[in-house]
Amino acid sequence: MAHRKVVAGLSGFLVALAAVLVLGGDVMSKPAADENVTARADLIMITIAGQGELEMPASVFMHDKHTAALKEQDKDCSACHKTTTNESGEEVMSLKFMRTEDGSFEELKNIYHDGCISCHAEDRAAGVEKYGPQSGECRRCHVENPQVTAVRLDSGMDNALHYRHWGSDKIAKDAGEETNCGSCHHEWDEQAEKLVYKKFEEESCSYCHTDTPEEPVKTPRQLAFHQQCVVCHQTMSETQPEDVGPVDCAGCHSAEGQQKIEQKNETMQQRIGKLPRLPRKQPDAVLMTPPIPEDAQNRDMLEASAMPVAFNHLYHEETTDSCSSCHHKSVQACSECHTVQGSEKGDFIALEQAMHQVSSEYSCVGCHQQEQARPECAGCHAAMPTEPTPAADSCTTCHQPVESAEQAVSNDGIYVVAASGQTARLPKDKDAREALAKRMIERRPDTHKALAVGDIPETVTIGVLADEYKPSEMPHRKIVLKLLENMQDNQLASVFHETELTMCQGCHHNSPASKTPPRCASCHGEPFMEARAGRPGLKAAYHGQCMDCHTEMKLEKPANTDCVACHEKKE
Amino acid sequence: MQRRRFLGLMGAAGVSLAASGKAKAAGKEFHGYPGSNAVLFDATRCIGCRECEAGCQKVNDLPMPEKPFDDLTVLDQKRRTNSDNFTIVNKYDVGREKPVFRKFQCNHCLEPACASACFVRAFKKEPNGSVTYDASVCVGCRYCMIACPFEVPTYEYHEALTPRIRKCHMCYERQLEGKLPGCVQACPKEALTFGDRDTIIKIARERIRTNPGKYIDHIYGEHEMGGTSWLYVSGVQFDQIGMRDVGTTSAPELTAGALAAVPVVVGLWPVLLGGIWAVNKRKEKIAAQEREEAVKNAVAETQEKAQQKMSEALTKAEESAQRRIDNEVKKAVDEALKAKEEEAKGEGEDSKQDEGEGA
Repeated sequence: MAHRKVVAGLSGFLVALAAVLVLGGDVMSKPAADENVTARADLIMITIAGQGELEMPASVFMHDKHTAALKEQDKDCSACHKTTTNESGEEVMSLKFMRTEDGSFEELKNIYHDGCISCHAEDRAAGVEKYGPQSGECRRCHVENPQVTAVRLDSGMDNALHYRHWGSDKIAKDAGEETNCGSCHHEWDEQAEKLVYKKFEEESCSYCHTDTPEEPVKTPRQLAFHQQCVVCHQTMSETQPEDVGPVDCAGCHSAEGQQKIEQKNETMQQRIGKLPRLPRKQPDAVLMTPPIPEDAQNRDMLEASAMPVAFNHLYHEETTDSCSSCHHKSVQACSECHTVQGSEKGDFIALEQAMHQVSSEYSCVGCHQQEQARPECAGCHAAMPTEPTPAADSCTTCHQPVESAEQAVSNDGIYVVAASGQTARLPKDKDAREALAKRMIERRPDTHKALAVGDIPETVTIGVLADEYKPSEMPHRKIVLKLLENMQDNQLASVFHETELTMCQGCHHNSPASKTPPRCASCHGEPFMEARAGRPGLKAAYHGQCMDCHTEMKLEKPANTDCVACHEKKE
Repeated sequence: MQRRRFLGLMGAAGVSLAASGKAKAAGKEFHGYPGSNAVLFDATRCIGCRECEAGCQKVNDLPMPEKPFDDLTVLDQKRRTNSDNFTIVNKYDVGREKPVFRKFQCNHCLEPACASACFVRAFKKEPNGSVTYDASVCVGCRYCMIACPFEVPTYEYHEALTPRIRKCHMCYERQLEGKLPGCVQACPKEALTFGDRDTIIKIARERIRTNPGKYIDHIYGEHEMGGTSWLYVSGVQFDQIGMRDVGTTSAPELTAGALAAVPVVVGLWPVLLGGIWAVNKRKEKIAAQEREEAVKNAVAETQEKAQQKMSEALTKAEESAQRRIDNEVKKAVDEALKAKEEEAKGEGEDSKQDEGEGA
């Protein structure tokens, strides 16, 4: 008997202990908010809150789960989606549930209740293994605090995915054309009052289909994409189920789905090599002219204006993700909205800002600065102070004088100062300007200027400060050659590192470019000198230069804290 | 005077005094000794090498720790200073590629909480910026440890007879010799910048300005706790590297009002008690006077009444006596008249004779 008491007591104690541990663990453990175990791309919260007073919390609905379940029963989208006529007059699937138009609050409620529950009830009657909530089980859909959260990554179309569409044979060609752009691109014809396709005037969908579209556009962004992409993928999957775009939410909006798309893009790129160019009649080069007064003829007046810029449009098409990387509102010249003074159409961002603003990802300078954040560039560039305006000595890299007067001659355009020092007139004709810009671009270097290897010191011994450690042997030439190798095919570096010595100034900063730059100790001495407030002392200058560069370039070895990797300890 | 009411009055007096004291204290702001030194810690530069710890240990002759300074595995735990080390570096994982390191030591407040809490003045803010400690006067009460918002002072619990408070002192002696503090000297990256506090703040601002996006736009210590001589700039929010928001009011400013009221309150006791005593005394005196007056009045009143009664009685007596006399006189007169008449009656018979006689 006593035995039993002991057992009972012990088990009671153990149960209590377990409870304490579990509950305590619950209290002690951090909330697993960032683990996102319950994050789903296909979670849609069904709510008709806009139409009236809700009695119940919004309903949880997993779209992909339903798609998969219906597939098992050999049912397709039509189980939930009716057909409707789209703006172009085609019979397509409506993206709304069991309806083509939204009705009143009561109607909507009934559509959802009848639509969902009747189907669940049929499944149950038919003996399906997994059937949804039945009538009366309100709280199984209307959950107060759902365990699952909707996490959808933004999806988009970059150049590669774009080519997989416009280069595809499966999408119908436009009437009498070799291309199929009209299958997706359209614009509103006010005269005919219908959607039409105009060749060579294609624009990005999101220019018109914004989140809050303005008349005459009716479809907001999200719906426009789903109507365009999902409905098309869906229709195609009926005739050719293999190799068709995603129809489920996760296919575009989950990390896994996007990875799959990326993989397919890569295999396609490997197959064809370089992406073909978009057939939209875009220029190879553009001669961008800063505001020069049309009546300015004499040199004094001309020199007060900036030189024109030859913009390599072709190259930028290849190096950006999509047209909208630069053309963020519409595919036309920047100066259409960004006037010299700034206009309401361009959010009062003046032309000069639009081109040079460092903080903008759309401006030339801003985008180039973002490029400098790449590890192979950041070693030098991260250490340079970021000024709100580009460095003054970098203007002439883009703003170049046109070639000598006779080549750029024309009789109608504005005057500029030419390379020869003469004044020359720029052509007004578009093709002539493009040809001139092309010639100017051809003058630019396409590879990085490199020093003769013999001019690069092989090792540099740093021993001025040697105290606890032996002097450090820096493999100077190896470092320089590695840096040069990193920028081998980089057009930005080729053009902007103007001389073979420009790169040296990444480390040998604040001193003129030279094959024999001054020693660090020329400027860096004792730390915290009042006369040189803020300038590092010599020790910090060395360590900062090497370590920060290695950190920015994401070099694992040597670790910053591994002293003996660079200088041996003295015995 | 009830005991309760009296205590209430006392309390009210104290509070009002404290309030007025606070208002006065707010006008006395101390922005540090001009030209005092400061150290700037830059969390974006620190690589967590622990050289500063080693440097501190060397210049202060502190005992060697269990694990050598080049053993960086100790950074895996959050540490704090103790009586054998004045500074430590902690590693914080802030969800970035690389962890962020933060050095911890005394912040050398411009108006130190430890010094304001110490009743023997063992702590002193020196003109060069250091907050120094004098063990010879310390009584070991450890109020400073409670007062410090940064939990800096530590105690030699293992010393039985002469325990001291231990903390960083910004290498006060080395500064006097014109040398740098040990940790600053040792830092290979100049994550620690030493100099005049005003210049240091300028340098910090310049770093924030010229590196947009690299730093949080805040210099921790410029105003925290009324300003400190150890300043911090960081690329991540300060609460992510274990630095809480301690407000911008210095510790003395928080307590000066209440403390300034203490002598006044103490001095007020005799005044207040004397006042109460005097009031009571006066009350008693007035009461006695009133009583006397009342008695006097009562006596006078009774006397007056008696007088009145007596005079009334006297007049009455006089009147009755008069009446009696009158009556007697009347009687006598009447009798006399009667006698006369009777005489006349008797003589009438012999009047003729008598007329002549009468004439």
